[in-house]
Amino acid sequence: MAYTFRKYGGFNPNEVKCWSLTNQIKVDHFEIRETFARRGKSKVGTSIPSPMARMELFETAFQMVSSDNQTTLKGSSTYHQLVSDCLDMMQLLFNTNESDIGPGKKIWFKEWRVQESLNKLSATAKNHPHQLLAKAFSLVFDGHSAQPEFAGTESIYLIYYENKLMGGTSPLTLFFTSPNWDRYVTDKQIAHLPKGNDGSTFFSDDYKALFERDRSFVEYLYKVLLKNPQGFEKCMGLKQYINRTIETHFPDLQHKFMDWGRNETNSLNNEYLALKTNIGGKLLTVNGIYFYHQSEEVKRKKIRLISDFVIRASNNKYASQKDREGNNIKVEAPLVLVDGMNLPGDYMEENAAWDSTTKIRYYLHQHTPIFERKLPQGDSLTVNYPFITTDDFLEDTLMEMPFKINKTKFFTGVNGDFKYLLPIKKEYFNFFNFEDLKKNLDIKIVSNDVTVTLKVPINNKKGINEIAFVKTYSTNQIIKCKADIGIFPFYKINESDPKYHFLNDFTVLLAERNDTLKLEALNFYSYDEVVYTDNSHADKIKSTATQRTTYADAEGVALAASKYYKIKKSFDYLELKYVSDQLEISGIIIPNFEGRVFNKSNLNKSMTFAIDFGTSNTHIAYKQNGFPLPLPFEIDEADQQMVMLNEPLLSGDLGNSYNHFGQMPEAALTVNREFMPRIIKSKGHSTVSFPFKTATCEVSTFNNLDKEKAELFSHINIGFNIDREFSGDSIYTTNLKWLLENNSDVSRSVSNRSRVRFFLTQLMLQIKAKAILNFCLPEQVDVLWSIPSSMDKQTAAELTKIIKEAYATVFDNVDITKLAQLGFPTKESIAPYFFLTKNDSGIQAETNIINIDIGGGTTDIMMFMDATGNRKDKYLTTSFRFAGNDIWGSGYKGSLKNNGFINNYLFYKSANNIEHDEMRYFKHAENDNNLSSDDLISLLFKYDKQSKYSDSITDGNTNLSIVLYLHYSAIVYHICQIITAKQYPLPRYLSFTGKGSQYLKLLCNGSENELNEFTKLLLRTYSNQVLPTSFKVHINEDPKVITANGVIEYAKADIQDQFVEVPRGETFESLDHDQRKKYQDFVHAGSGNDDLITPNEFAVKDTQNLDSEINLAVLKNVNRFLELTFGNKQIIDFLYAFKIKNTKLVLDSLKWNGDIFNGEGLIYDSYKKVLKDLHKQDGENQLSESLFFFAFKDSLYRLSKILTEANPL
Amino acid sequence: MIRNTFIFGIGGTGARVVRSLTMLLAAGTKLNDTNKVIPVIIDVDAKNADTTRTLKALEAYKTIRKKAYITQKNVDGSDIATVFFNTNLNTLSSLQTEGAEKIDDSFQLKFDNLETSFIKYIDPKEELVNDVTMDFLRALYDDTPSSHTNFENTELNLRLDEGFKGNPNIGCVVFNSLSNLKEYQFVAKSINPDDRIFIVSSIFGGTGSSGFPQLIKLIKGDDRLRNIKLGALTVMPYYKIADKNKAGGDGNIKSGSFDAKTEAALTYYSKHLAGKLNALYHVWDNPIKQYDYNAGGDAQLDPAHLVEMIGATAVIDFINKPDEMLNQNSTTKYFDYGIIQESAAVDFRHFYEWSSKQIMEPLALFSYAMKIYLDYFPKFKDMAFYKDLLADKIHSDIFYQTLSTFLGTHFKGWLKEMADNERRFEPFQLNEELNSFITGKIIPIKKVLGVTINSGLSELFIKERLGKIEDELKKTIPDPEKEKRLLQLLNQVAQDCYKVLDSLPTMTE
Repeated sequence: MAYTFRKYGGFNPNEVKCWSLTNQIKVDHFEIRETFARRGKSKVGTSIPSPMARMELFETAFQMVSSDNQTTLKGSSTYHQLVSDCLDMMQLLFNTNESDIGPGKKIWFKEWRVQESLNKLSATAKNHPHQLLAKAFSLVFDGHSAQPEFAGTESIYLIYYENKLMGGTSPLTLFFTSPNWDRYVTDKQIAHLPKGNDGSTFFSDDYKALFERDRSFVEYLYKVLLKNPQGFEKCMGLKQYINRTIETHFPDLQHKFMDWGRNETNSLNNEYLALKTNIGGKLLTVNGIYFYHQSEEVKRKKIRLISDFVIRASNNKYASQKDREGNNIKVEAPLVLVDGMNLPGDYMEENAAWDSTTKIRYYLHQHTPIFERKLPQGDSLTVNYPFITTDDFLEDTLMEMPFKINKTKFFTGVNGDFKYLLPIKKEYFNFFNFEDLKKNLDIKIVSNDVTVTLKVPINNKKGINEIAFVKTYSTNQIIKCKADIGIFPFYKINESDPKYHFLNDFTVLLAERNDTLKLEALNFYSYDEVVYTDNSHADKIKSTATQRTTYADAEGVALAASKYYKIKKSFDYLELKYVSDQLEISGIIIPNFEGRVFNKSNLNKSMTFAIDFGTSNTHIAYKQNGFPLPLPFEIDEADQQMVMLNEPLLSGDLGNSYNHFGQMPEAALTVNREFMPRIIKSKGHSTVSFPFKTATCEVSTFNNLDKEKAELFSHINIGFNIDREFSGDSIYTTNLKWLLENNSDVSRSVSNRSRVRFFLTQLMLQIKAKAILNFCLPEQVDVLWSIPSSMDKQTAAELTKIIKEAYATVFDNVDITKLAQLGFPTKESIAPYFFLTKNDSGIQAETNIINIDIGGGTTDIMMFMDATGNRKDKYLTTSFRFAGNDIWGSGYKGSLKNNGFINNYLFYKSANNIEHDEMRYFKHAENDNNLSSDDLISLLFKYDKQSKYSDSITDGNTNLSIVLYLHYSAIVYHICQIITAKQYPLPRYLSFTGKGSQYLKLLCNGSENELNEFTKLLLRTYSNQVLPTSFKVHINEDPKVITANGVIEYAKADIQDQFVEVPRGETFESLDHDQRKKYQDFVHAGSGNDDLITPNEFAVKDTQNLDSEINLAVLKNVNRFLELTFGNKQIIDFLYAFKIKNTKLVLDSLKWNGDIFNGEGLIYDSYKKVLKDLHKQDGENQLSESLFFFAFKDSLYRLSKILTEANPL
Repeated sequence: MIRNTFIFGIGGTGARVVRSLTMLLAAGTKLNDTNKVIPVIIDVDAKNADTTRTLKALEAYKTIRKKAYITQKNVDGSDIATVFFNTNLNTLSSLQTEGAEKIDDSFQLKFDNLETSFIKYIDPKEELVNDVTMDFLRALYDDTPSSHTNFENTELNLRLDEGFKGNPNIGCVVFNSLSNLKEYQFVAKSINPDDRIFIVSSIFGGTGSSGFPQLIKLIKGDDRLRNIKLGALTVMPYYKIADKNKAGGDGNIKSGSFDAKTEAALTYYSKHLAGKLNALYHVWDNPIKQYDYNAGGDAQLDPAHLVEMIGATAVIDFINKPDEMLNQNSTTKYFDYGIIQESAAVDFRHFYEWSSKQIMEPLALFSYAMKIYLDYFPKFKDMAFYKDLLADKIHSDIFYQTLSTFLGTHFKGWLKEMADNERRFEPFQLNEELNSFITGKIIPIKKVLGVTINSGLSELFIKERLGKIEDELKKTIPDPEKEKRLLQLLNQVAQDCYKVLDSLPTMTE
């Protein structure tokens, strides 16, 4: 067989005889051997006789690998390595983020400018060796002998990776790698070899053909080819390679990009980001071809489209976040990945499955916002794409609370009892809502281990619907935390109308008592807002927190430290964060607002509230419009306003039930004292009920606090717990109204004013909460209040102002007519009448009724003389500051808790061995300097059943009860004097209302008939008129309630049934145009009817001289009253029947001896004392109340003491 | 038209092919229209033993031809068919080049200052250290430092004084200094546009493959020479080199990658040389023989190989091609060489006609001459021709010494090397009697009835022929030109032998 000395084909051996004409040896003739595949071992390129050998070599490689005689583009030869390396480099550039380019960064460039370099080299002396290089390069680039592929090349860009020269651009193959790069790679001088999106390492021994690469890269390269036919004229090998790849493996792309080359609208710029070098911002270009990176956007889009682990979020809040600088960031749907998960599905690329050995290394990512995360594969050049893993949604530790979570009001994730906070991280809600959590959370408790499984839905083409995040918390991961939380009001407003935003006004109590844990934060979040792991943004709802009780305060007392958070936005869940041993632990608390989510469409009812802000007690009545009767303000379980995290005790007694705080009993006092009761029911069903004592509870520094900075709950609140205090320092202030009226202590006037304001503000808040929780539209809430007629104008104006302030603070943004309405409080003297006559109390309307409303400080009287024919002045009011406290108090401006009743009780109690739990409250109150005698007695009355306080008077020291008869008689006497002065008939009814009228029950052993008789006796004694036979004293069971209810009824009454006051000094005719009934305030100075002086036309100045006509007349009149009463045989006998045998002593003690300047007798002393205060007023002021009672204001106190001492038990 | 042909033999392979060419021309292979053949050996490895040997052979050729060659005419005035040393194989200095500086009468182009590394050669003062050009060089060249285990890969740090060691990408840069050499300038000026140039190089080595394209660039860049007839021989791998671990050395040449390197270079040639050459001859042989590893220098002395001889025939083929065969329209013609049959041992029978006639026949003749000169002459010391022509001169006279060396060392050595090489070229049985001298064709001794009637190329026959020829020659070549008579004597006795042989053996025999 003929033999030719030629290795490569392209000839017919039989035709080659000696030297015969054949053909050029071409690449196609080469056979690729796989023998030199070891990286860095082959020096093939050096055989090319050009300084550009390295570049030429890549061209050869592309030519060879894709030549026609190759059956596949895949192989392991040196050429395949070169092709693979070149493609790696292109893909690396394509994948590189813009931010990774620049000096000192992952990738940077140097530019070898051809002409400049050649000039520099050839500028040397003639025989300088640089001339050789100049010549060598110029033969390549320059002049007529230049190689055409290189001619015209302006620059070669050198590419550095990790500061190592990786290679450069080449006109022949666009890119080439330096032969040294191989060495850097094999010597492991490159710390982080770049990787492809499929996780394969670039420049490895696993050579990757183009068709095996990321399809988006293939498409990109093909598009670059299509768009740059001229540029590729010099890159025939690469061109051939790409074309062959497309023909063989992606024939669809030929069709898909058919128009790419020609169609101008298809620009690479539209889809990719031009690759900008660090050299003066020059774009990377070779042969006029520009390069691009896959824009991050496109990369992410691809992953989003392809990955089988994309989260199936139910809300897309996460999609728009802000970076640390506050710039808006669009966040792709993250992948859901779990270390070691073994699930089918493509990860980042089509047909590149998730590798279950991939390590996520959460600790590397945990402080990185998800939008800055790179997908795990251990290389910083992998794609910047968000992902989430177990630790993003589940806490490391579980917080155990000292009680069962209140499962009806908070979501626990389990059906039974649960004492842990949810270990769900708030970030969960960037993707899912509460409904998802409920559906996907599963908590199992097996012995001491709590296993939490959270299913996260994904979009997966392989049929996997979700990925489970699972954590098991054992003893070491469970941290005990002694804290409780109370939320007020417990509702959610989901109304977007800003008009209703004021309803979002929350106070949250954090009560805690931890030894080692240190509070980090209590944060509030809304499902509407995206949250950030590092709290670097205002993602959490703004709250202001004030520590009220510190750990130091709580030391040694069964009290918890307290912190009050004020939140003015609707929140959906809370995050409680502690630090334990430098370890941050937290849990979330999700209130279950089911049935408590309000907006203007479900708020459709209307309500009226009436506040009776009394000196000693306060009551609120309300009526849902359309309902027949007003009701006392109650808070039931259904409309519980303040909800605690702990579960109430499941016992029948609401009082006990809601005084339960699990293994954290310290919370009880904190909540009850500083915050508010959870339940307010009618007497007996809860510890707190309306009416309740008018008192505030404050921080000790309240007086010195800047009142502008003082806040409700944080510093002061309604002292609901006043009757139950027995330990620790608590500061209550009572007699708020009185303090307001009597600016006796000027330095405290601001504080007192604030107290009233905060007291009323809390009332308003609770009214608002009540209204909302009962589906009442805030515009449809009417708040009314009553004012005693006796209140001086200045105080009335001030109180009105405060109440309006309080209202405006709470009902922010509500109709100003509602606010204006508060400028017209109902007179306390009118109000009861409305309730009594309308509500089947046994009192007939259209008769002559006198209603006497005895409060703590004031008695208000209204005379409804309906049966007086055509008289215009059928209605009269009068009011005086002689009421309950004058019996039970410490005397006129006294503060000692030593009145006779108290002393008597103490004797009685010890004599009768009365012991009861509630004594601790009494004892505590006794020692409280802020409290007065009447406060103590109020407490005793409250627990009368246990304390037997009433018994101490009616049974123990009956003589002492003469003080009560005296009080009663004085009022009746005064009424009679008015009747006489006004020439009214005696009334058919005397009706008593007001908390102060409670003492009437102690009269006559509680017999209404006897009291009736006694009253008739008095009337006959004091008046000459005939008493109607059907005369009746009417005592109301809940006197306070009647006033408040009356206010409501009054407001609803027809206009002609309402009342308008004719100012004093005006005639009734002046208001003829007014449809309402007219009344006038009348002040009977207190002189006797026989004194021939007009009893109602005195000014303050008229009393200036002690021996003035009026003073003398009043004192004489008081003496007359005493004589008529305690000198009257019938009365003495009546009293005697009730074991009151000391009328003589009483008369003697009280009676004025007639000396006006240096007189004696308790009434004289009292009169002088009170008169002195009156003189502080402007002399021109008309008397606002009768001087008659001045004589008794201090007398009863002193009398009680005398009587106790006189008749010790 | 009489022209000169310049043969550039670059690198070791170039030198070896020139060596073979020298032998073939000594044998009298006829060149058409040729005035002079000027071999120019280009090697950076001045110590290369191959080159040295070739140069010595060339020197010997020149010496012998100068003293002994005569143009012998037949009676009818035609040239005698074959004449040893027929071709005027000469040196540069023999050229009468106007304006050119006279140069040494040497065949070798040398480079200076190569006793250093590549990077130091081009940047001895480290002026490029902070220049981006240095970065560019590092992108293009391996700069493995000497401390690294893979220092064998280094390019920038490669020492140049022993050649480019398979790094034409370095060599091509260094070769740019070629044009600065006065020898080259002399050559360039000496070449006339009507002359021909033939370049011989290997594609897989260092120097040859570096210089080849560079030389073409120089020639093509020379306005005078741009259209000169240009031929080249690219010698592809035909031997292997032992692994460095077996034979020591630094391992810079790797025959294992010869093929890949060849292909890389071929790709480059196919792009950059196509059209620039009129004729490109390829030769390759399946590498069987493994040479010891020698990086170059005086240790490199590779035995002659058939491929080199075939390469030398390419030169002859090119020179003999009529102008019209080498058209001018910028297309390169490619030539490959074929024999009749593959064989581990090649001899005369394997060649097709042209080679047989043009190359092998003279080779056979010259070999007869050699054999007779070396083996028979000593036996004929008593004969008149010996006494006339050789006698005491054979040991003292430079010509006779040169002739003896040429035949005994260069030519016979060359044949022996080829015969011992693989693939073997063994047309002669050098140790056999003349009747058995030509492989494949034993001259039979004719006997009739037991009586030898023709004993072929017997000693007696030779003896008689020598005597007769000498007598004849004495008539035309006077005593002062005894050298010429001697060469003619050898020439004619060889022809007589060939007549007895009748023809070279063929496959059919």
